[in-house]
Amino acid sequence: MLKFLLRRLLQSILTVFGVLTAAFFLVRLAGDPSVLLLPVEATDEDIALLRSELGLDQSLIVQYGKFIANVLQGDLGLSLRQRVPALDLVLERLPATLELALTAFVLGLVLAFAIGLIMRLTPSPRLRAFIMWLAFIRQAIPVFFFGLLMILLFSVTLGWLPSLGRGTIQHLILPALTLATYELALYLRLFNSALGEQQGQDYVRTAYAKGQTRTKIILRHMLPNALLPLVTIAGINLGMLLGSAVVTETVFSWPGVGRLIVQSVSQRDYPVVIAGVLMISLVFVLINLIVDLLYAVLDPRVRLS
Amino acid sequence: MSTTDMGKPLATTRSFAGLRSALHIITQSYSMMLAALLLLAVLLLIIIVPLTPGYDPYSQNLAVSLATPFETIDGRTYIFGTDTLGRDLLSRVALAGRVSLLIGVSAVAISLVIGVFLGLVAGFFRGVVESAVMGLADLQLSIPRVLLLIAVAAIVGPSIANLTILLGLTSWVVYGRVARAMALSLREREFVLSAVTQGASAAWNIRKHLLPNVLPQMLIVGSFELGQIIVFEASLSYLGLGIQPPLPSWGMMISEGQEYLETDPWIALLPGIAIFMLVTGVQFLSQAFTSEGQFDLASPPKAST
Repeated sequence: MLKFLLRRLLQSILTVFGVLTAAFFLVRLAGDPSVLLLPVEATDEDIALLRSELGLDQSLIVQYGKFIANVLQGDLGLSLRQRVPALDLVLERLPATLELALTAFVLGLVLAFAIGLIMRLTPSPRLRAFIMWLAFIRQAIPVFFFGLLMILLFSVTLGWLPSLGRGTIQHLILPALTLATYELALYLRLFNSALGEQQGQDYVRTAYAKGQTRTKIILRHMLPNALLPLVTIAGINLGMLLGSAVVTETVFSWPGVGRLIVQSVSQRDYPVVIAGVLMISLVFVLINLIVDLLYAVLDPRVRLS
Repeated sequence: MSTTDMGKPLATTRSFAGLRSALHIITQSYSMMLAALLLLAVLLLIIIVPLTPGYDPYSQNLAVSLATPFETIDGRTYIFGTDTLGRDLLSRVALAGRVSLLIGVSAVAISLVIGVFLGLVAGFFRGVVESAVMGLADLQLSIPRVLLLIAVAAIVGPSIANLTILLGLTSWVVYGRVARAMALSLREREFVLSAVTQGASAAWNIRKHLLPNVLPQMLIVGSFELGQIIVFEASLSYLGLGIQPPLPSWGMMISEGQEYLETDPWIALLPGIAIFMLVTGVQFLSQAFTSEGQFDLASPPKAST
């Protein structure tokens, strides 16, 4: 177990390092920051002064080393617009993003669980096919357009829920639902096949032989065993969900990191963009690590392979 | 895989069989027929509208701004209505579709070439090359793809060429992984071993023996990816980081239309429906090829972001 833990940890650190390196070269690709920082009428001396201040006159290797050292100390540079540390701006927005992503994650699981059970217990194959069809259609609609449809239906037409901003539970419902339903078709399929796998097991046959009802067997015996794959895939997808949250936040004017990144892009505030991307990637790597470790704890076969 | 040991791939006959059975699947299932119809309808719109005399996606005419669909003003009927600047939405939806398809197909071609090359080389040579390629793939997957696209698009600046190259460069992983997996088993086959012992170079083997055997599968993956790429492009354009005005794009039109959702919802709805039709059509049909058993992506059609 310790060996698995160490290997997985090392892998995560390497990944973060790779992301940092990519970020550094991306920033260099963006061009000379001193040109962006200074007004148009700046003289060559001004530019030279600022370049040496920022260390841009040093070799690329030295700059890279300094960049990594700074990041390790939590210094991601100042926002070009607001003159405050970029990391602070990102950290300020992080709770909103996590709130949205985690709510959508839990909601997605609950929905998959409830609908999956209905599909299993219903005697009508037509209803089952219809639900699956709806889930497939949902998946073929891009997140931003689905969000817009939700606004059109629940805010504009019915007037039940607010379309923008964050604050109350009502504000959370539409963006969370938009994100939560996206993977529903995948979850339903998984849940269904996991339940189907249990169907043929000896313990299920025994339970039938003892005269238990179908409903009871499904709920009591098969369900707990079918949950693990669903939770695993959902955990893996939590990272993907963070990516989709970036777009969803813009649709619903949700004040999270994603919206901050998009706004900073249009203001050419690169330090904030990079800080935001790094932060989301870090959360992404962390989540994947935790999911893997949890799974290794739950299923010994994983850590042995 | 039913490749003979003669070294002559059966790819052509097999893909014809694949096409026939895919057609069979399509005609057998109502949802497949529906998907085919959706795709056909949107393709016809994209192809035919720019050939009609009323085609004009650019000229603004405030006198006819916000015409509702099928409204006739001064003897001209606006089938899709007009936007705030009085531009004809039918023309804009059609042109945006052409741009979307152009970018999508080109990006798929770029990523297919890169992915197949890296995957085959990794699978054929193994060792360091394989570790490097797969490490790069893992690294790329450790950043949510939308986020990566946003960060790079922000820095290199949006243009059709940049967007296409960017989408192509970030989408190779799926081809790379599948091609590598197939190369791993192909390289052990007798026809490859025989060529190697007879002194055939690695390049010759990859080109003559591996490539023809993986290509049909890669094209199926590509058709599946096309829908996803179109959605990524639309998402970026929705965020203002993709196609830039005056050229229309579905994502941008939806973002413009969102402001008028309460009064004139069709501005956002029409391009959204067009995306849905194209993506659903493409993905359901590629599903017909995959469910036929040649290649299982193990996931239902989806719109990624």
